[in-house]
Amino acid sequence: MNNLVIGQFVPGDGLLYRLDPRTKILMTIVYVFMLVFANGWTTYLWSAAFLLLALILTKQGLGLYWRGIKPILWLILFTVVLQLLFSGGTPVLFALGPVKVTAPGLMNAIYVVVRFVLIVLMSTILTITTPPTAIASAIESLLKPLKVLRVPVAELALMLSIALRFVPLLMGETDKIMKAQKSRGMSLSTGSLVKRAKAVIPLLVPLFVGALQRALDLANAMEVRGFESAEGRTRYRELAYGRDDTLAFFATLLFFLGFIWLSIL
Amino acid sequence: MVINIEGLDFAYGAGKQTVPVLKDINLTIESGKITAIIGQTGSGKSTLVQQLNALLKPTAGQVVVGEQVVTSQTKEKDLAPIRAKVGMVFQFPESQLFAPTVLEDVMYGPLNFGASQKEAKEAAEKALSAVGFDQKLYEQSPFNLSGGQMRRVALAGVLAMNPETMVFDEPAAGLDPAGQAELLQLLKDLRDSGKTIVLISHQMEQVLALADQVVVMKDGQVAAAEAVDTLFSRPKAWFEEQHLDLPETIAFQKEMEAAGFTFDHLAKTGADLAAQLKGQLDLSKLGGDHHE
Amino acid sequence: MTDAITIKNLTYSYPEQGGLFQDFSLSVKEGEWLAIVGHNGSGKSTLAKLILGLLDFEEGRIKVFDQVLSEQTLAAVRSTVGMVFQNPDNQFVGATVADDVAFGLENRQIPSLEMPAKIEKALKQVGMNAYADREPHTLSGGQKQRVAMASVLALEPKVIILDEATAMLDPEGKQAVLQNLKELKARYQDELTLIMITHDMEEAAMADRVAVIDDGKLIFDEKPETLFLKGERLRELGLTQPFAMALREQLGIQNPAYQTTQELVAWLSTLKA
Repeated sequence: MNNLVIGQFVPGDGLLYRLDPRTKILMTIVYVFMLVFANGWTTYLWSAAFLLLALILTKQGLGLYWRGIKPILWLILFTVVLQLLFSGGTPVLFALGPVKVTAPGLMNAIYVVVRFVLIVLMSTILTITTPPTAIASAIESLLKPLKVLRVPVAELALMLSIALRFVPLLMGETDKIMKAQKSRGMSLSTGSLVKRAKAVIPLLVPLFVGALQRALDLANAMEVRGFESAEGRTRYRELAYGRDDTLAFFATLLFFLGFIWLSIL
Repeated sequence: MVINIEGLDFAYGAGKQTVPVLKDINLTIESGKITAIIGQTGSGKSTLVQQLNALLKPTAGQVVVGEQVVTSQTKEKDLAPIRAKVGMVFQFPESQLFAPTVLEDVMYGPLNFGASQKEAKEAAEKALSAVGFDQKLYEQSPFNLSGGQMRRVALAGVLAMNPETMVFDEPAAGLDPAGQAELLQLLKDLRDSGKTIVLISHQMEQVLALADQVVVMKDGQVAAAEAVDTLFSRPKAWFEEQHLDLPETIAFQKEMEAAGFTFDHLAKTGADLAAQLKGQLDLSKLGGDHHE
Repeated sequence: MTDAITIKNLTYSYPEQGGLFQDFSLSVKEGEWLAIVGHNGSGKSTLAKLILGLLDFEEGRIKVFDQVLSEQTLAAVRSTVGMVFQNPDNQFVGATVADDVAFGLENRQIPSLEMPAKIEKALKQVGMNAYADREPHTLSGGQKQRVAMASVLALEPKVIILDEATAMLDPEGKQAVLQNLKELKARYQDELTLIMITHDMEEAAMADRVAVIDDGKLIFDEKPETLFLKGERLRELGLTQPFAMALREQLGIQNPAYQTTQELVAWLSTLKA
């Protein structure tokens, strides 16, 4: 029913699955950051090669990633059109009245698409290979230094992981309430904007009330099982930095150095 | 109004990722009767009833509701008349209430289907009184009511649309015995007032007490569709195959038959069973002793 | 035998609707299996929340073994008494089955290295060890409730309270949970005290003793065998009788002894004319 691949964990046993989630998050951040500075076809090619290596190491079929890209195709297309039409410069390749497609515009469009696709794919690799809880505990671990500033890092991470856990449940609930109200003649697709906004109330109120009830129940269930504070709890899943992570670290370093070398060349 | 399901297949998803749920369903829901739909969890009961008011459209085949035909090609905008004819009460319907007052919540359906404020109010009041809801509470917030009262409001919300057919998914779930009995009586009253009732239930006692017809689903297919008496005359082994329990009355009757007692008809209630048993017992054998 | 839970002269009112319990007393022996029955709104679930300190009462005393429930003993009481709630979805904290069982262990600061064995053991006791890596939305209601039981068992409580734990399950899920409870009781015997809150008489029949509550008052407190003979009173209280007992009443037979369905079939066969 749910075809969205971005943000979804897909069980598997590739090398990337065994990496510490912190490693994967940092790798993704470095990668996305570097792409912002990509300035020519060599750097893009280098980045694409690195991505391909990561893709292979997930041991997932390419079809999965294609499904990840598909829903955002229109967004990519939209960006391409914008770049083509509004980049300006010379020489003009093609003109239709005031609309001009220029060579730099075309180059820009291609680069933007490549950058966009690479970033989306890299983030997809992160979420496909990392369960949401692991992402939550990795974020907690990475943000630990903020504790000095009295940021409640443990609470935030627990909130995040519980929120993620309830996503499928709330989606199911939304579907059910939607069907029930449709049966009572609800229609979201007709009328003025105000009318449409009003039409969402029969959907939102029950969803909100239900979520509140769940939250109260969950609080009770957590308290009864000895929950007092997110601080000072032990961890079932300890994050552990291993040999594979060192390997990944060097691979990322290699990518980083190669990237810099190619961009100053 | 008769509902006909003809050669219906249904699968979730599209393209390569389809999950078939219903296969080759042919059914007639007879008007003015209570049709129970039973089967193990996951057998396709809920998916099947959602075809009845086109919340789900068939992948192949068609559903004919009165004059209207629903196929995979039917457009969303043509479905309103079907939704008005077939009301759907989901499991735990009280979790769909939303309006500031009971009356406004119940008026929601009629208003959506084009009733005027006045008509909708009349329909709502009629429906609320039919489900036995206290008139003093009409202007209350539905969220301040007890669970049982909230469920009545939710039922009234569907009833107020005055549908010809009403579909109930486990309407008595979560109620205590007294609440369940009241709800079952309400379903009977609705049928007797001329409505067609479709009932999904795991409670075999309910099915026996209420249903005229029973549809047994197994793995997305119809395993049986017949009168309630015919169904429960089937041997115990057949029910085990479908992973279904027998109603206690029927199970007891079958045990007694195995022990040599005879019955001239299927007992629907304990009282009926007792009446048929009485003549076959020699209570003088009891004597004065107490059979501990 | 010592008392596992003693409730003495308890007074509690709902914050909005007003009085519920007035001078209410009830005790549960160690190793006992007690069913608390009553119609919806009778106060039976509120009682469970009071025992676990999820609600504050006005007067009276609740004692769990030798601890008197108070702000100071709350943690100790909750480590002695575990609870399984009605809604399978709303008590599943972890992202996977194993993580959910781990949640309570993490709260108790059990070292990480000791957790896998404890989780495995708890899941085995409910027959869910093959599902350790499953996410909750891929489980049936009955399976989720068994995970909830495992989460409680992992904390090795002396008392488990089940608050209508089967009310939202289909017959199959319900039977699996009940069967599981029987096995647990047989394994732990007197080391495990069970309190089962329900309005299902089939469940009440599994208990050693049944407390019937109506509007915050204790109406009956006796063995199921004698309680089930009181058909008329039970119906007045919005409850039912087990099928066999109701049938026997309808036959007009006054046999003082309680009989299960099988026993009644066998006994009636001896009376065949």
